[in-house]
Amino acid sequence: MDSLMERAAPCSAAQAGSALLPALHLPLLPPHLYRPATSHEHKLNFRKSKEACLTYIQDAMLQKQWKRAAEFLTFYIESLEKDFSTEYMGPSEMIWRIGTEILCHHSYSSMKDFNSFIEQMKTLGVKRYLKVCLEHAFHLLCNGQTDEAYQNLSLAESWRFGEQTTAQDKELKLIQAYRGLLDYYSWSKQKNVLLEYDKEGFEDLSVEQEMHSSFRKAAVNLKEIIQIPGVWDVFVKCYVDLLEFYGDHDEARQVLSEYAYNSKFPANPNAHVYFYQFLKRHGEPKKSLISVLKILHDIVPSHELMIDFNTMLQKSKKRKKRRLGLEVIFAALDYAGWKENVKAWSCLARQVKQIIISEKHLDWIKQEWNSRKGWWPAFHFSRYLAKRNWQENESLAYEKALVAGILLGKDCKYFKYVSHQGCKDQKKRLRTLKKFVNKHSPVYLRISGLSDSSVQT
Amino acid sequence: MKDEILCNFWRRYLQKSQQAYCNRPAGEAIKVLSGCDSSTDVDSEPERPSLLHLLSLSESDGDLLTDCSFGSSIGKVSESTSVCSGSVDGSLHLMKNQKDKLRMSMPVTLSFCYLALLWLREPMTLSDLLRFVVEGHIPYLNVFQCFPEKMKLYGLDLKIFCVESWPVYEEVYNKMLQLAAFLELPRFPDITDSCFLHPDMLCMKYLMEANLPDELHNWTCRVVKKIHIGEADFLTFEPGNKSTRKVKYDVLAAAVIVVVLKLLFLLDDHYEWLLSDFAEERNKNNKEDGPYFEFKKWCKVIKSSLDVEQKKLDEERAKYLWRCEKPLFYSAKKKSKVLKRRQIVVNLQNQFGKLSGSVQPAEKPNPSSFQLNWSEENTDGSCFHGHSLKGILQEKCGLLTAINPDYWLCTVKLCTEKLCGHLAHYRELDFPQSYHFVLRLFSFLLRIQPSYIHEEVLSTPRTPHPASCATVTAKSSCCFSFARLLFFELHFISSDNFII
Repeated sequence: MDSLMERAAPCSAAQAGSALLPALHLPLLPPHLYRPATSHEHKLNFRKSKEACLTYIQDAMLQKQWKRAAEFLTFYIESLEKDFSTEYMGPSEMIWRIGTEILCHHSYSSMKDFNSFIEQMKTLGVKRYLKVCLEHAFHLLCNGQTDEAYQNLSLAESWRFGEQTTAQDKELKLIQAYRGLLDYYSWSKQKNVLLEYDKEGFEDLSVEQEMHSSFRKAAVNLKEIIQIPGVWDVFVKCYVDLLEFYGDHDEARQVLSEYAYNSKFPANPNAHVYFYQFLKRHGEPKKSLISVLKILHDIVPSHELMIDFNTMLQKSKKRKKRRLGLEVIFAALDYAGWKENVKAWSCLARQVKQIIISEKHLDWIKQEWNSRKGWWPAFHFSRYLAKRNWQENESLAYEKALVAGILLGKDCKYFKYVSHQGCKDQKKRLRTLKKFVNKHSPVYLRISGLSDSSVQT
Repeated sequence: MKDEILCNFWRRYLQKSQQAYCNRPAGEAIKVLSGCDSSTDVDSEPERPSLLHLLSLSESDGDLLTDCSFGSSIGKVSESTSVCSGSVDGSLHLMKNQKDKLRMSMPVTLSFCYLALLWLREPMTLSDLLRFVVEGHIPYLNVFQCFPEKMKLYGLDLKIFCVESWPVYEEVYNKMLQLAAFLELPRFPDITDSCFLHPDMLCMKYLMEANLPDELHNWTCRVVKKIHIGEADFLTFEPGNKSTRKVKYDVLAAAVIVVVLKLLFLLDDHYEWLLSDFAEERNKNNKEDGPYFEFKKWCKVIKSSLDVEQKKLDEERAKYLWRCEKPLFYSAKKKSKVLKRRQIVVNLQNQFGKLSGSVQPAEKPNPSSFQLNWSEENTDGSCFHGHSLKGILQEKCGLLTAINPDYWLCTVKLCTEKLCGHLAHYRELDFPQSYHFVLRLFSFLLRIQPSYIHEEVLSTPRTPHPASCATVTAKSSCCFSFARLLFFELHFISSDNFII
């Protein structure tokens, strides 16, 4: 319509209409569906009215206008009296979800309101009963009301409703698991209390007994859920903690290796991390640690444990392991998250230095550098980065400069800038760096493959 | 006396459909419900009228308070009727073969009402009636709230009385035609010049509502006279006579106004802006005499109010409440469930109502026949009633005619009525924006689709009259052709129909 207002210049011929939304001319589409139905429809029925209401609610919620959303929800609620059960998400579920959102965010709502709302929602849909209970418990936990959450979960656990109980089996298991989690939480509280008492020389049998009973309850439920294939990081951690405290290391180890290696479980890097941490805690030999981390490297090359992995591998006597170490550290530094990590660069620098000084296995570096020489210079060794690294973190700049000097030669931008700055500021170690790189500059030529003959220095 | 009319119509209906007032009510033999005797014969006659609450009209300002409740009787004679069987012939009613009989339903009750209004020539058009229904001034949506206590609805009655959609103009109108034919009503009282439903009067009303200059009224009268739609024979409803055209008074009036606008402004997205610019120039330079009508300014003003009203209407549509405090249930078994649900709904509504912070408006605003109001006292100059049309008129042979010599006809291929019941399909894209804007305005005022008005506009020049015209029937499917029609060259012969 604004184009209507702006038209003043005469047109030569009458143009029918102006640029509107182009109509769809699909072959079998009936003519009256060419254009989307406008709100200039003057018919209305129940269903359309409620659909329109729902769009208003959605708009208000997206714009975080909770008052307006609540207002329209009031009008939507009567669709409960006519449940179109053919739809994917019926009115009662809509109202539950929308109502929860509004009550969470609205400034005037209180936990009491929320609780009474949820109680009503529970009565509305028996097929969703356990789901609602579970989410209610989550909400209570988020608001710090652990006791109420525990009560709710216990209540839900004892709910029985004929066929529905078996139909909602999954939710039931989850409810049991979370109750186990809360048991663990109370166990750990009691444990801390006892430790405090110990320090002060008290003894309290009742607390100890409580602790043990919490342990039993928690252990049963957690064990149950862990057996089902899934991602249960929280539960596994707690369960292992319990087992370790009571000295059942074998069981713990069994659980962790199942969790990590059982192919039925979805691939989960954290499983390997937990296993690795467990083994480390118990002083397992390097070999097993390395094998665990190898799998982790395959899944997540940019994991933070890669530094430890590399350190372990570098110290190894076996050539293969050291080769792997180099591969690991190069792979880690491919990721943007590691760009400014001093430790990673120092690992790389150290290993590269070691290789160069030993004058063996330069081909390793060559192999690794081959796939990276096209993009690492711009990614890590630009002049801009040189400046920034020098300003922010000199040790980072130092390590990087060493690597740059070796891989790109002493004439590369990064090295030149850093060494220049370093010498200006009279940093001693940069002078040693400069000397080192200069001494080994032919290496660069060999690595980059510029010269064919291998030059022996 | 007015009660009598509707009551008579109703009695006649019952008689015709053989549900009462006759010797052998149909369907007696197959009635097996609730084991009551087949006693819906002459005995029940006195009962039926007593259950009807009829129209009580107050003419003063066109307000209408209706209490139409048509129900099947439950307060039956037979004691063996179980209370929960619902209306005795509810299921019967729905089972009936409706090929030749008009089945009673909620929209049909509105047709009855409209028939009565038409007979009495009340100042209310069908679109007004339907608007009042939607706004809740007339009990229709949850009409069972008005039923007497002893009348309880169960079972299949729900299908009849549970309304889940707004009444549609066309449906109510067509049912009215069928009903009138079925009841074999005679010719209705004449609609003359002084009647509200006469195009002259309705045009005046719509012109005021659309904020158009009063001078346009002269033009509408001229057009009405010229194409002979102002005559009683044309306008009066004659159910028995199949050859007379059935007139939709409100749509006709709107169409006449659109035709006049087309005559004066051409509405081809070009000419009207030119005229508007001239008027604007003149208004700038000359502030003493009355202002000339500027189409552009009018469009702006109307558009902004229309948008506001449309937005309000859209929100009202989303907020429309279909249920009421008195719930309906199919059977006694479901009663407790339904009541419980209702309780939950009410609780939730209260809870969220508090959060929304809005206070429910205490009363509904009174029904009014005008939706848009423009007053001369507004100093922002947004009222165009007094504006003059001088800028677009010229003198010719002592008569005032429009500067614009052209009038376009739609030559997009027409449909046949047999195919889909419509004369033509209206697509926004095929027509000028200004034309669409005007149609949109009237479609909002009358609450009907723009295509109805468009059809009416198309058929207006074709109104057959012996003396007049070259009816132009366009068969080509190209978009436009400018036709200079003899019949619309504005050399009016009689000079008593204009005011300078």
